[in-house]
Amino acid sequence: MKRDLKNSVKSYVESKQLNEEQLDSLVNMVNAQKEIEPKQSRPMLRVAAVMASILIAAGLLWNVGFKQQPEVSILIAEEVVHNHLKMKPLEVSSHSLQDMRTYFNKLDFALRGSSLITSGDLQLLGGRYCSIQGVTAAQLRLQDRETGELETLYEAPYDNDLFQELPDLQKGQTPKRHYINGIGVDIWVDKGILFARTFSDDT
Amino acid sequence: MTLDRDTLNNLYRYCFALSGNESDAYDLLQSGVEKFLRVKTDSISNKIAFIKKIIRNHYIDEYRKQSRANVEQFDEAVTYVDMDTQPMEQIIASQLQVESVWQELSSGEREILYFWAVEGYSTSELAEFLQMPRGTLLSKIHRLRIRLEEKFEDTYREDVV
Repeated sequence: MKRDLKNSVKSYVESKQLNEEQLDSLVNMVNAQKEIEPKQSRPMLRVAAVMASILIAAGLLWNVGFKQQPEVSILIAEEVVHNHLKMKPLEVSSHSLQDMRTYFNKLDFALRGSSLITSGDLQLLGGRYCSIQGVTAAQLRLQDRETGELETLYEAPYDNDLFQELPDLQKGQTPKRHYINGIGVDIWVDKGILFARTFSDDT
Repeated sequence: MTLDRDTLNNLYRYCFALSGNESDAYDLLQSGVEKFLRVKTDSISNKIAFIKKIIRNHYIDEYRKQSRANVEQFDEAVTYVDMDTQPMEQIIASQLQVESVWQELSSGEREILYFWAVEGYSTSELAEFLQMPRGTLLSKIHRLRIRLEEKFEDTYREDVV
């Protein structure tokens, strides 16, 4: 039926809506945030909190000369764990690394395996575009064949200036390991590519 | 403002206008809501506009760097024609025609259509939201109108053939 553009755009866009599962997921996210928000504090407590904040800020300023920037590998680990826990939908599903290479054709590097990842233990499930510290990266999802646990593997071009010095397998170094919110992350460089892989350490 | 189901659906439609497809729209909305929840919004009066800004900035950051954003690079050197949205009101198109060209439009063009048709924004309101000079926006609208007319002419011909 022909009608004016405005009404057609309106009815087309308004025909789009979230399905129940998506809505439930988002509402749960909102409700979970509400639960962790602190309760309104009483006025005196507020004053005390402000004064404490001023003292802390003064202390931080006093020590600013001695303060070190957080290690980049920790920032990487935090970002990787944050995205790992979100488990966003995959953009491409395949068990083949070659399929991944075909899909990730907008990266500035070629996806590759690393000697630390043995394909016998892990099965590739798929991937999506992502970023680490603002650098476009491939986020791959792997599954442990034995335990069924899902792991996230990031690959990004290694930039020494941005990522600072990280262990390089070709120099015989071992990965840097961090634990964020109970999730382990190994970070290393292999053949010019930065790898960051989550793992669950139940031992 | 609470992010209830109606609000989430409205925001989803904005995400759909930006991203052009439903799968990316959900992804975008999820990220936008996450960011919104991390921000203290007590002093912000228009929270809907604020979360839309968050979504828009996130879209530009994430999708442009992945070279997937079809954000039109506006040529500032082009002399703009001072036109309002009125000529757009005169375009006749079915919902099917809109659907058929939706993904061919840039995210910027879809965004203009969304605010004009769904939210009922005036050009001044939209220019303020997009933080764009009104003249630049009017020029974009003018070019969008020409593009849409050409596209609908094509689809009309295809319908007839």
